[in-house]
Amino acid sequence: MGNDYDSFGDFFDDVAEQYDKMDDSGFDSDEPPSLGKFVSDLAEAASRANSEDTVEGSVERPGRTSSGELGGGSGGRELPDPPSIGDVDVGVSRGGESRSTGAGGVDEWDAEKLDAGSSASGDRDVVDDRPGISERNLEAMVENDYISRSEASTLKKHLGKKKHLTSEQIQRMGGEHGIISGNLKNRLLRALDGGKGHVMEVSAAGAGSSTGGGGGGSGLPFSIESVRRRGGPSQRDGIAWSDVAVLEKDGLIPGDVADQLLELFYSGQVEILQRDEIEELYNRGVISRDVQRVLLQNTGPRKIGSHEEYYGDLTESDLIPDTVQGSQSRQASQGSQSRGGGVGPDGVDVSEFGPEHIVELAEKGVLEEGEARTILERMGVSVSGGREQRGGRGSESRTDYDEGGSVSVDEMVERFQRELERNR
Amino acid sequence: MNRVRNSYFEAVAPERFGFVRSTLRDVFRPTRFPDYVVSAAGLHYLCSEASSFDNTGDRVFDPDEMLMRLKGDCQDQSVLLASMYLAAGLDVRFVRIDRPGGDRHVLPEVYCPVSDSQLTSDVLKEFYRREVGESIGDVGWEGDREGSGVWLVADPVFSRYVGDIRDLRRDGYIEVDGSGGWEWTDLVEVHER
Repeated sequence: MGNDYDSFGDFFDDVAEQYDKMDDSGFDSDEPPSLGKFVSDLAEAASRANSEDTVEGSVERPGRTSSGELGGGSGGRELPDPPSIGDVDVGVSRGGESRSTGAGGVDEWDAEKLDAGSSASGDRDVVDDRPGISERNLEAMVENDYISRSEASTLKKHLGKKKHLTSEQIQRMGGEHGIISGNLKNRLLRALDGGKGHVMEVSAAGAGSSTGGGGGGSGLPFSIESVRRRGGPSQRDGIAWSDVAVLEKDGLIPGDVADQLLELFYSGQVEILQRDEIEELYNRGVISRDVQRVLLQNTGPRKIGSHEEYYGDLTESDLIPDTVQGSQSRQASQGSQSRGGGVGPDGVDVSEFGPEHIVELAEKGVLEEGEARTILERMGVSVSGGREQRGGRGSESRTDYDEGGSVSVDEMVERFQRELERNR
Repeated sequence: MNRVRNSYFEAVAPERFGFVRSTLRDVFRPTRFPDYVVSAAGLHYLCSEASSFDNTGDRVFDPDEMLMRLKGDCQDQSVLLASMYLAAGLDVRFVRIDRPGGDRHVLPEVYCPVSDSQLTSDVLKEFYRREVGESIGDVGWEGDREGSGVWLVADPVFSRYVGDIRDLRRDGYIEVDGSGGWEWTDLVEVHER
């Protein structure tokens, strides 16, 4: 078995400890910093960056680098000639523009300031002066699957009096406090920085509010129109606000009922409508029996509604469960890509529809790629084996190995090691 | 500060990260997994988790400077990770994407000299599960021209593990074809050594 790390935190601690040992055993100041340095610098750099509104040089650690250039300040860092690829991140300006479009619906995004920030790329003073991420933005991020519901809940708890998270707060949450993962911190900072697509999605909801007729007047951060444009049920357990809009779009629930339900979401009374809450809405007379029935039919992770138009006569009972059960075993003798053993989603009669339906489901994003491939393989359709690997692109789903199965993890690793050695 | 004119490889500095291989091996000494897996997954994790996104504009920080700073945009983080990969003996390349409207991104890919992408995926999955307690999803790869190995997406900004293309897909940098294949939506160029 592997080591005893229970978490990445333990891993980091151990790396830092390893570094300390190396340091004690003769690392002098001219040696390059180690991974432990990398990790230990995180908190320090974040702390300094948050306590000083300075630009580069604030994280200078004299004597720790051989170059000694860190304290030079930004002036010395400018390139005489912009490199050919140096403008890779200049897309910030696009983010600013997109937020301008969406500002009507999501007022916390200050398009003017952001535009200013985008024009001063690299200027930390401007970056630190930017507005933060509001609760509405978090909601929009969840609905865009940019962050998870639990991540949003964690972030909401730290919104503070100003009701929005600044880049400084996000830095601290991901660094010294360890409230959020470094990766989430990265994603949020990148979203806040703009121009990378995320904020486009967030602001798209705002754009819907201002252009969707009644949406703006209702004060909703999104509208049915915006959801229509973005399309697609949520694929979550329960009913999300986007599901409501899709159901209304499909004519399965009346518009006024959709507005009522959306208001529930926006007011924060509900995040996801589960079966009990739907029952309660019916009991309170908020929704009719017909609406209740439609909502209950769509509480599973796979929605009907708009999917019907994609998949014809597929009914709710045909929908694919989220979990794929059973274990996969690998027949090493068959070489690459081929797999044996029982594979497939439990209880799904795949004889009801053909491979083309599965491919279509995957293309529509209803099925994860791995799920689709698993089902196709169960249907006897060669997927991985028929794929051209040379110069092609693909992704591999997970395979569950049992310690006592036909191929153990040890055997798998050994085979991988042999392949590595053979090809090197 | 680096002047990157023709390739990000002019910005990498693997010679500054000679400690990487031994440190990682020390950390994961009891592991059954090959050095390749430890390096590919461990270094990506360190870059992804320990550094923060910060728009640094046109400049590209020297990787050792980035190590001290721990803040940078996609190209700063990519150059840092690539430098450490190279120091660990892994091959890397850079993928530049330029989407209409000015949205641009760069990310490194790490080479795995094993042609069986499913096997590579399974080993990575087991490494993350057993060594770092994380359950990972699908592993995205690009086959090399010779068919002898695969390039694994190792984006320090968007990938939560080596091979993670989910956020790249969500952001529209990648399109899938429903049969396991995918394409960069607006690929500008690939920088290889």
